[in-house]
Amino acid sequence: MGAPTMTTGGTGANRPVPEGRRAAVVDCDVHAVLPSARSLLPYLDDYWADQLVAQLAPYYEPGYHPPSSPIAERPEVTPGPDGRAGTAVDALVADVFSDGGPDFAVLNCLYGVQQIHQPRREIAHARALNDWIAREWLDADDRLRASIVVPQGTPDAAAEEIDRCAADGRFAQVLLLGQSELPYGRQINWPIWEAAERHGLPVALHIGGVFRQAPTSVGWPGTYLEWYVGQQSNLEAQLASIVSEGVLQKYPSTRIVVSELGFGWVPPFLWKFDKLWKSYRPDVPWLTERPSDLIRRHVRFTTAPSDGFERPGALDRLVDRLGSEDMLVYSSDYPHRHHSAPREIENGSSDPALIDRIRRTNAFDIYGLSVHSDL
Amino acid sequence: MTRYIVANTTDIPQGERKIVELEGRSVGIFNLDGEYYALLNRCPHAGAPLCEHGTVFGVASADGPDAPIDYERQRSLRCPWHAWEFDIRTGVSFYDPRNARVRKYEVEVVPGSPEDVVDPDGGRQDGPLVLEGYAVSVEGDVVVVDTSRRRPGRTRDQAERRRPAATA
Repeated sequence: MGAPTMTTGGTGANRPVPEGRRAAVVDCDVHAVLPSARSLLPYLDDYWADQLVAQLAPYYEPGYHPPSSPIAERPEVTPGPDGRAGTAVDALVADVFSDGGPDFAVLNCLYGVQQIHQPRREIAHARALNDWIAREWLDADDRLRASIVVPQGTPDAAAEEIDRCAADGRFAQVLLLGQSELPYGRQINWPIWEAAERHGLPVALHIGGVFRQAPTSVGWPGTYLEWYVGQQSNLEAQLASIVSEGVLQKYPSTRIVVSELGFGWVPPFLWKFDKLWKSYRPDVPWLTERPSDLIRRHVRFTTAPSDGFERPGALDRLVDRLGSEDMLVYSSDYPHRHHSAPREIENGSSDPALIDRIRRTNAFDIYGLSVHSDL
Repeated sequence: MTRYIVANTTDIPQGERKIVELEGRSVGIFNLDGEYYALLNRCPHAGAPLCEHGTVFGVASADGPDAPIDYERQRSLRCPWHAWEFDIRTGVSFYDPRNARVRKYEVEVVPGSPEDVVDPDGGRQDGPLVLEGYAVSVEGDVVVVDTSRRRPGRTRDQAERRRPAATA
């Protein structure tokens, strides 16, 4: 394993890889799980640590992948000491970096600090969680990278947390949840985009939510099934907001990684967005090019779940409809279980160059991760 | 070059339009603050009667999402069907200047006089009302539409230069 490097830079496909190095294979969505609320005690200050204990340590692990449900874990994953996958770094590293695995993995810890309604408590827990990730995960293996968890309820504080964590070069992106209190394009959220751009960090929009109001656009769903499926339309709303409100004009180096939300829905969404932009352009006069062109340049989608595009030829057809080979990046979504194994996505294309882009060079464009050429 | 008298200036009050047929094509002539513009009465998108039922609107532009919105009234014509907007002065769309455009005609206002009207060698011709068998009364200034193609197909560079600020 060569010394990992982290470079940052502007948006643009096919940025040059340093001499003597190759673009790294990156697994862009891997989940580390906080074993218990008490795991954060060493990382909270005295006040918030005592608060946590006094409240009997409420555990904010979200129900995005309900424990023991089929989606929660693949049967072959190595469990941690508590019997759950993703709670121990050695087990996760052994699974994720096994033969044929990636050079790097980006950890998205979904522990639900964003669901804490008290702003100061959310801020304190986000800080503690990032410090826990740095000490107990990133320190353990130099192939791990992580997303910065931010207190979404207070965008200025989120920007400060991005500033703080970006100083540790191992945080590779910012994590935002698909369902927010206000759409991410709204100006109140701009401090987050500004900070991410300032540090050259992509922003992951991952399935999940803050649950300050109904988690789908139309209200409270009755079942987990409705919630999970409904997050796709939330992402359409988020991208419509980000593009329409001009985030990509205001912060032109912004890069977005839509994570664990599929990608098959993207071409018809782009078509409709373009179509209606022609009719409503005067509402957004700063938007001087087609929404689809902006999204192709700025937004990437992780490959798990692959939602059927792992069938022979299906991925090629999808990429043709996307109109770009730059938009997909590989992910395993470890340890979550979907209807196909992560690398089955490679069966969807007959073009090895496309698979290479998805596994390495598209990720290099956003993360700048490389390894020595002889590796 | 064929120039048709299409109306007396008094026939098209400020803010109004007149639809005429020239050489088999429906054409709309607009009077905006004394400036006259003529466009083919057909949206290039789906064929709607653009001039007959379109809305004269302004054009908005902004340097950024937090910059002031500059708005210039009476610069665009919006289609009644899907609200596609075209520069009423040029027929060029604001979102896709290269591929979506409405044919534009040159318009001028000239002093009216019966002797000026007919010129068999290519000057001004009697307007469409005459073609349809009506008499044209010429009193005061008349509006003249030129159906000749003065501009051969533009080069891409020319089209770029003509893009309005909103799409630069």
